[in-house]
Amino acid sequence: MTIDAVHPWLALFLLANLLAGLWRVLTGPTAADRMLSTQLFGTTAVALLAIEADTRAMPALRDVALVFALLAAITAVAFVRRVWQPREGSK
Amino acid sequence: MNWLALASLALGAFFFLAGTVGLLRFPDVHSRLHALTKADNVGLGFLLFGLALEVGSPLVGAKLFVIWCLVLLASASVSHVIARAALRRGVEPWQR
Amino acid sequence: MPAVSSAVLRAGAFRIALYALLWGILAGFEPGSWFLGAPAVLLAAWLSLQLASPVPFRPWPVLVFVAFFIGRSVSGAVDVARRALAPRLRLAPALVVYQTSLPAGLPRVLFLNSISLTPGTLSADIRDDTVWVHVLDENGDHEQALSGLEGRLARVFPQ
Repeated sequence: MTIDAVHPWLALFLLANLLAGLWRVLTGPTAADRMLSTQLFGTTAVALLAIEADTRAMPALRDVALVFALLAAITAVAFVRRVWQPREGSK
Repeated sequence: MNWLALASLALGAFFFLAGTVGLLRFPDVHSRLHALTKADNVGLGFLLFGLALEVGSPLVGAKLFVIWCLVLLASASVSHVIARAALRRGVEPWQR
Repeated sequence: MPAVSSAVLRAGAFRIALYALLWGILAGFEPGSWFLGAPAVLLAAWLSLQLASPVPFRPWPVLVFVAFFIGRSVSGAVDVARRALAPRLRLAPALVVYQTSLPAGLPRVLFLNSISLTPGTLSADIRDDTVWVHVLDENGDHEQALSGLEGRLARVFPQ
């Protein structure tokens, strides 16, 4: 048995995990609770793509994972813009 | 069989599971953010480390590491934004 | 032509090296990849200097911080996994307030993000120098943990 044999099970496990997390989106109760799921989806998507890149011998999927991560990092810009305030009004 | 890689993949899966259990069980949005941000990021780290060991190419390993850093940056930032939005909209943190 | 300060030169050289490394990792190091890669790296370095002024840092404390950070984030995940999987939830969450003396910009961004990835703490808001931190267990010594983290970052960025 090679380690590749565990990949489909690993992927299935992560999908089940994602599905369980959907319960939080459905039940909330606040909007912020629903927003949490974007985190879960992003991280799980990157994990699944990295696994599939290996299993299917399609290295390009690793680049798809990278683009996912990059897009997620762009959302971090909103955060950075807020924290990045010079204290003394200088540039 | 690469046992170290297998162990790393299993640890990764475990932390993903722990993150989701926390997401479902913890009492309010702020505690749930703790669970998801910490557990899922470390879970992804172990998973990518396991995959890198399997592939055995330093270049692929470096690419997976860059991906991990980007995800860390993104989820720590997004988690701060969600926590702040919740506080400012008057979602009081749950207290025992 | 305006004089370029040595700080800008050093930052420029560092960013070119960093972006070249990134390009190599993403697109491959074979000679053909640099036909596009070299101009892209130079353009990115120039653009980044226009957008963000140089932030001086010490290389050795950076490595110390990265090692510390990885260790702490793993123990943060172990801590949260233990709490999530325990038969009875043992949480005593609270909001604590912390005054930071780190300068605005990169040091502060790294501080807030590291707070959220280390055990039991989550950065929830910031106004001026005041950081609101959500903690999973109000009984912990968070003041000490936070000032320890802050001190390590302060060593990375000399004032």
